[in-house]
Amino acid sequence: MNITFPHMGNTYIPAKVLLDFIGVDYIIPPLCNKKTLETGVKISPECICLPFKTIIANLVNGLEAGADTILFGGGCGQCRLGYYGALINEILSDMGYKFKYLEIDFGRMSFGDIIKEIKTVADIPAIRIFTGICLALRTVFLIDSLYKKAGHCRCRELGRGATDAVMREFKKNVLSVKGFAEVKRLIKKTFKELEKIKLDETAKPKKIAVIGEIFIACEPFVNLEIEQKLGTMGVEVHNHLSISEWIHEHFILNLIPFKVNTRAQIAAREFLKAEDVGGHGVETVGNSVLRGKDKFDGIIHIYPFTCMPEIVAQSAFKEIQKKYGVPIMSLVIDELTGEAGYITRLEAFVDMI
Amino acid sequence: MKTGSVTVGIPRGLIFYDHGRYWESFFKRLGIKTIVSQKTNSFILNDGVVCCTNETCLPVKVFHGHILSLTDVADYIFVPRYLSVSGRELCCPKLCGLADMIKYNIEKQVKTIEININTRHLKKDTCQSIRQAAETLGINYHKMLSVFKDTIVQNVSFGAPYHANHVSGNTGRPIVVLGHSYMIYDEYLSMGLIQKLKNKGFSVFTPANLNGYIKKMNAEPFVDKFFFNTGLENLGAAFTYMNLSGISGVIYLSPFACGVDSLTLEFIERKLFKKGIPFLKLTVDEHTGEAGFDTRLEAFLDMIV
Repeated sequence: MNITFPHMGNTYIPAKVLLDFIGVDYIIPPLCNKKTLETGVKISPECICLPFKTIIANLVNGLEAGADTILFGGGCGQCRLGYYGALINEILSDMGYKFKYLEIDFGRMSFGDIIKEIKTVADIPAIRIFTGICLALRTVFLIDSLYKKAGHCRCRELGRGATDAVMREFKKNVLSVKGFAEVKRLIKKTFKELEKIKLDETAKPKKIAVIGEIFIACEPFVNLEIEQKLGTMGVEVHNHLSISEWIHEHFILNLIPFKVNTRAQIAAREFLKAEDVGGHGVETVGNSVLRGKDKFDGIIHIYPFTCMPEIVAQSAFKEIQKKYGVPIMSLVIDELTGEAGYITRLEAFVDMI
Repeated sequence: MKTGSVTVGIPRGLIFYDHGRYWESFFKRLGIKTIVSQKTNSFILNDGVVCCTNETCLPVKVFHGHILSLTDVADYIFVPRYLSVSGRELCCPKLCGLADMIKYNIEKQVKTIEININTRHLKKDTCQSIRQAAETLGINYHKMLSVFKDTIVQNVSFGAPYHANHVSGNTGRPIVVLGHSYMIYDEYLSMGLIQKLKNKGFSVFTPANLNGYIKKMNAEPFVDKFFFNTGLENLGAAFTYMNLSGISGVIYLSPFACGVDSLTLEFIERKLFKKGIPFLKLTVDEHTGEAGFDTRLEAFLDMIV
């Protein structure tokens, strides 16, 4: 058995840790690039959202490289993500690929269900899978704290580009290390290197929050490296849409027997009466309210073209801007988004605030 | 406020084409006068387009237009919040957030009556909204609830009998028109598609001509799984009609950038292609010209004759 999985930001690192630990062969498809997107656009429905297009292209790359099992983290509800699985199955089968499909739905599945699902393809002791998942979760949190640190350094560094150089090195090396211990060591090492970067301690960078759809906010290729771009403009970027937040929200809070609302969901009640509009619609409104209250200098709302929940959320922005006095800019991303126009808009927004 | 003196406006858009008649009888039995907005026209469309964010889909924009056209004639405007109409069916996010979108998009203060339809958590959600609506209209809560159960609950939920009032009844060649009911039955948005087909001598069949249960059993690959209700409807209808002999073609009318359709269309297109049934995908938005629309339709009809 040979597993492949799609990319979403840096999820490939925890996935690698998990699969290394339980001793399953896997193929990591090449990180998203122009070619990936082209492949995806060719075989996807026209109006589906952008995440689908890159996900299916990743899987095609993986299957081409010899994988025979697909591991995919689905969801459910009013967002199309929950139905990707069925469509991916249909399209890839039509293309003549033969594969087994493993869907892990963090929102609805408990630890036991996930272990059972993995057991259908490989006979691995449950305790090993359990430990593997725990290590993978630990990795997620470590990596997100590393990226947070990088964001902190990038907008304050004295020599432009120092942080990016360190992070590039990390991205290159992380693919070659094996196992949780080594990944952890590499993260620690990179952390130290980031600390060595000379920072301008007096700098008071502008604070901009990135909100919106999680896939777009996490995947640097798709969002045209928004964090890096803003960082080099000397802006401190607060991206709360990270995998660790998502896991915390959908998996850890789900282990509690009663329903717990996150801060964002509670904050959103002021503007949205609907409890759920699918995806991150409610969270987007809630987060923009919270950032408004925290006196951020600006908010960038980023989502894929035709994303249904975000369009609903967008309607409330006019009121939020008025009430909290925080400027919000919506950026819609699709496969035709040009980098030059994108930079111009970011620059104009930063200049304005 | 005394009952009888208030008028509730019902916008002729979105769910009106499915459940409008039930809502009309709901208000009628409560003794409230209702007024349904006029059929969609260019003024309504333009009003709607102006007040919405530009990425909103066409039917939602038109719905805003209908609300604006009612603001002067009705005291309250009825905006239902459809969250889920039966166990495993979800509604489009835009229907869930409709009332909120309206609140922010329409700057004129609109007094709305909101009723939540959520069969998955019927008690809490729905009753709360009914209580609020009853308070606003000055009607006894229990009376409203019992009327609601009689007129709405029985008719909108799973397996309800669908009315086949759009069958043309003539003996022309059968053709299937798929799409959301608020697209295919809105004569303005669909540019009179059904009538045009009838004029050409076709018998037109739509999802509404099939029993809800049959549709749900045929809605591959989402049988017994969670999916959008309009998606299930179209998938089920497409795959039921597909297996009937003599269907000369299938036309799917979709508003531009519809999220649900982007999924369902792909499933339908692939299956029909394998079956060898001619399939036309018509996408419309507020800029679509009728001439281009007609050309596409005529070319398709010429092909299948």
